[in-house]
Amino acid sequence: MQEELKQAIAQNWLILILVFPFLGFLVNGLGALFFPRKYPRSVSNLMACLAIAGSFLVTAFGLWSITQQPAQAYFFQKVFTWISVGDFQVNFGLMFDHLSAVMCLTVTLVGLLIHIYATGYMAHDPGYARFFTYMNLFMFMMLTLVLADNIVLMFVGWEGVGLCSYLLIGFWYEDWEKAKAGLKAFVVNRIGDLGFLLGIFTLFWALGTVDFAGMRSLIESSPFSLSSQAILGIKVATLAGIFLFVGACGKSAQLPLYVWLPDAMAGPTPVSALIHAATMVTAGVYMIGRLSFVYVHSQTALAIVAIVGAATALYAGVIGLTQKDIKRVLAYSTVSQLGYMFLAMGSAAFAAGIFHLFTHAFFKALLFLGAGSVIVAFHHKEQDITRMGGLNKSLPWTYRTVFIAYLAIIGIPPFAGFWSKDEILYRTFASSNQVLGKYGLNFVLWFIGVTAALVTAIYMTRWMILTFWGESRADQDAQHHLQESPNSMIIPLGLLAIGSVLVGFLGVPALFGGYNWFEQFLEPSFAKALPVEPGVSLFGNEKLLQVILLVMSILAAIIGFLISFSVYIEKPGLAARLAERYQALYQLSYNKFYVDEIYDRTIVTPLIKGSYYFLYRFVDMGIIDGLINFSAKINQWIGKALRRIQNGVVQTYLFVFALGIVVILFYVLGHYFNIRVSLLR
Amino acid sequence: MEDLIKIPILSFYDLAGVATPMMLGILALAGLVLDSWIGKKKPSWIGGFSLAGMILILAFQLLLHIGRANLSGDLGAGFGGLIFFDLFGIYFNYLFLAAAILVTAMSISHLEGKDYNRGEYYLLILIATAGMSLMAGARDLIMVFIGLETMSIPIYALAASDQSNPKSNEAGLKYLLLGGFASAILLYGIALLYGAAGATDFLTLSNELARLKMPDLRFFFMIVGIALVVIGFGFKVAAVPFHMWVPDVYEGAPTPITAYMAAGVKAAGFAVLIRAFLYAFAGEWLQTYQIIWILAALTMTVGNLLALVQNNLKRMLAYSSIAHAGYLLVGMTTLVSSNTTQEAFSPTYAMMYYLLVYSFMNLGAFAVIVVLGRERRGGEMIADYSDLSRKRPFLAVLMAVFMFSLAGVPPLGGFFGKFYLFLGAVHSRLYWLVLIAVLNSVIAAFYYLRVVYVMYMQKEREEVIQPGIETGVLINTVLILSAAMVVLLGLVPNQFLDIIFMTFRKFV
Repeated sequence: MQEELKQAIAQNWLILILVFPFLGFLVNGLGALFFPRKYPRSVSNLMACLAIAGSFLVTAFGLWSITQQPAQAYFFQKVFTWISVGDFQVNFGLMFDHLSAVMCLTVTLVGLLIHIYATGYMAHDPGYARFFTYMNLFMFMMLTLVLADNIVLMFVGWEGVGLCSYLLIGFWYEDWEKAKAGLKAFVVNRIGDLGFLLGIFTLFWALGTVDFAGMRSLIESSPFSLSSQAILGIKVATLAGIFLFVGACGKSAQLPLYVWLPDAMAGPTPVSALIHAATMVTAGVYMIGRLSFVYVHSQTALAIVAIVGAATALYAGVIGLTQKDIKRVLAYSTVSQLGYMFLAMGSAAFAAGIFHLFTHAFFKALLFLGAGSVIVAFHHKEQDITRMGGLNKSLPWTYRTVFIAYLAIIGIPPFAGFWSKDEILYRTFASSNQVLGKYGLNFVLWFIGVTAALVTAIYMTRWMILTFWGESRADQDAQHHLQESPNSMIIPLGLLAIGSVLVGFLGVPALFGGYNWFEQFLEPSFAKALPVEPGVSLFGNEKLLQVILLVMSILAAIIGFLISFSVYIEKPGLAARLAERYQALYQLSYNKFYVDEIYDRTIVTPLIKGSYYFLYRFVDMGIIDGLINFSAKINQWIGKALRRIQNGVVQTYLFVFALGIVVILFYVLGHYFNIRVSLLR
Repeated sequence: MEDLIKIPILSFYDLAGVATPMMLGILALAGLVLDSWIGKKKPSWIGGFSLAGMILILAFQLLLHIGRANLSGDLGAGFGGLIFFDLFGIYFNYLFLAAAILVTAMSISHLEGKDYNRGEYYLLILIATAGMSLMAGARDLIMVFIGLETMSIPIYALAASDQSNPKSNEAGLKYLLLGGFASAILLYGIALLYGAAGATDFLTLSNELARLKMPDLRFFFMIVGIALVVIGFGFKVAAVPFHMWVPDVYEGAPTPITAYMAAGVKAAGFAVLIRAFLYAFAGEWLQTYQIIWILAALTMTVGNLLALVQNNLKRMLAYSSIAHAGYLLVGMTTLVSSNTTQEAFSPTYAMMYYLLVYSFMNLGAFAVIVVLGRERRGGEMIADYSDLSRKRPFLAVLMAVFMFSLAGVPPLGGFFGKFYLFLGAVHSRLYWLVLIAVLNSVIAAFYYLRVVYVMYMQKEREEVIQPGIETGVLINTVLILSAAMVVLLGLVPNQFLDIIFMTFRKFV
């Protein structure tokens, strides 16, 4: 089990990755704060994009240098000691290993392209400098999250990205709905943070350290430190794994905490692409990858991750089938794809999960930016895809690039999404998790995954058909003004499209004569899943199994395409008739299974109402009112000057006070006599 | 008698122990003379005078601190065992003085042009601070009581100082009545302890507690006495169910005084509780002392749930201060449930740190209310803050910092303070309490963020900016200092922790 020693190499340039976005944040922030009207757009453009470009270049350099080192090496930099209390020490320290290198590359590269795109998208928005301030702050926080060498600093980034997401969703705050969406995002994320915090406490309690390298070496040198200790009867690894996964569910929008993500689409489109598709929402997946050495010690926690992931993948896909908002469909699709990533993580196929994260960042960002381009073409007036159509003629470049992303997401070879999705499905099928294996659940999860792939193909084809193909259903006026977006938006689209074609080839499995370079590269960052050899094979032939699974996932995509095609192109009225006939099912999906309403009625309203009516009205005010009547007589002979004050309120306060005293004294008394009695015995 | 012979005259250490309250008292008397001279025409000058004086006393603390840190070991107590001269007291003196300075600066801005702008207002703050300083240094319950009353009586008067405002009168009188009741309870507890142990100083009390065994009736009296002392201070720190006065008094009192109650009075109450449980009430019997556990859980939960439904910012902050008292009681529970004195230091440090952060984030938030009040924008209702980010972007950023810190968002001071407290509780295996605490801090995020949300995301229906008084230099300084402290306490906590760790170094 003992791996060869990690080689930690101190570097002093790692901090640069963080410094650039922070400078961008400072310059733009101060500009926006002190010259709200005069701050020139060109400056804030340049600062924001240069900042991210700087980070990207440093990351690229880092990636190159880490390939020059032996496989077990990683870079680190201790910037300063943040907290040191007794045996609890936290550094502001950065760690650049293979995993954070890949993640940093994703964040900075996609981030850079989205920043460039945003200069075009936001060109006519008055809050321009403020927008880029928040964007750069977000990049700073995200990179802190990725580079953190300990879980507390990771939590700082974790909260920070949540905060920025909240600010950016509510960016156009003239709109009540948008502001509300921002608040919802933050509140749901707080629930996740609760889990994250408890996870930190659990790990620190069990291991006595919070930095990743320290935890890992501790666990690997004595694996029993996690499996033998228990809190409240639950194994520490399981407890920590579940707590942290609750955090991941909040941030990465998994069941049942996914509700904020679709609403978050209220923010500007570049934000949706950057934060709510490519980077922040994948933080949960990254965190599990980072802590893989904890997760491999709990089959239960892994099984829960896998089950929740698979369920989310299918569930969100089904909702996506009926949505009408161009961005909302993509939002549910993101939730669904994140589900795939968690399915991979839960099947202990960490590299496969990160691979899907990587490819997904490209094609999903591209889909969102394409949707943004469509929205700009409609002058922000139309987002309903049932009133679009035929855009392939008026927006040719947007259409071409989005089409590539479409092929990637439904899993057509050789586009990026195919390789990563197929890898996940194969790894799920072959999972050796004992908890899953006991009930044959890995086959069930695989089946759910394939079904979700079918659903993905259906709703994405529907999305393409309604938006780009066929005849235009937009009104004449809007059609007249349709025009292709400026180059600052189209060029990033093109680059992302190239990415969506190429990045998949980094992970071509050995079956196709590939080398699976991606997984090889990431391997040193992850703990070894307990047994590595595949648990199942068909007729003793692993390759045959792989081929069959592969064919099935391609089939799912093609069948999905055909279904959508026949419903929306061949028989145009069929969709409406189906919705008519299966009214209940349609409504269920269209209304997102009424989950928002359920949460509202069961949690939010009772909490607010309970607090207001019971605690505030009844206890604080009601009892008081009652006592006012009761003590009306007393009031009569109290002087006029004091009437206002002694209208009974003070008596009540004293009453509660005295009640408290009595209860406490009874407690003390009881305690005393209990002991006395036990002593007398 | 022998004691008297041993200490024939006041020694240097006697004086050092009471130097800070004494200087504050002298400053107040000097201010009174000055007040009779120019107080009628220029009351703010009295404020300036006391501000300058307090800054000097704060600087003097540095001398005391260095002097005390260089003396090794326990110096014993001054005045025949009445008062400590130690770093713990000096730390709290720093805190009280910093709070009093900020409050005075805030008050000069707040009172400008108001009819209750009088010299004695500032002098009462000085006397209250002297009382707090006595409380933090007390080594005897009688001394604690004297300090408590020296602090409380000026605060009652200050709460009622806005005579033209019925709410302020109401606040003062309510606080006085209930405070009197709490003092009586406390005194009764002290009397019981005296009756059982024959003395009121911490050392004798702890010796007697260790000596007496369970069936002894004197032991029973002592336990009841301790419970009553806890209740008396539970009132001052606003623990549920002794919290009912808090919202009314916080809402009615002039805003700077409210800030002072949140920052100073609470810190003084906890200073005494910490000291008492470290020195006097320590012992193995404490481990079964679950009252504080229950108080902590109740206080957090009730405070947070009630804060959720408030529309008045001062009332909301009042309930939030109750909730924060609950978090601090989590620290007390950890302290009480620790086995050794060594172990008890960790939650002590956590509470000391939390009180510092808490003071600054509250002072800052109240200072924002003062600013808006000066500009005739109201400022007491949460709705007054709508669209503040556009009208006063810088003020909105500062308010957001205070709110995020109160909500415990990293990397601000409030986060680390809470984290440190809860970590200690996890160490002491108080799992359920930690779970309740963390759940509570999730709920708390709702109402703090509501303010940020109103500032940044709600558009005001109509622009109603009436000409008010321009923002002053003093209040801006208060705002920036508080915000800087909140950020620094989160980013470089160790610089502050080092000072805290020194307080009990002699034991380690």
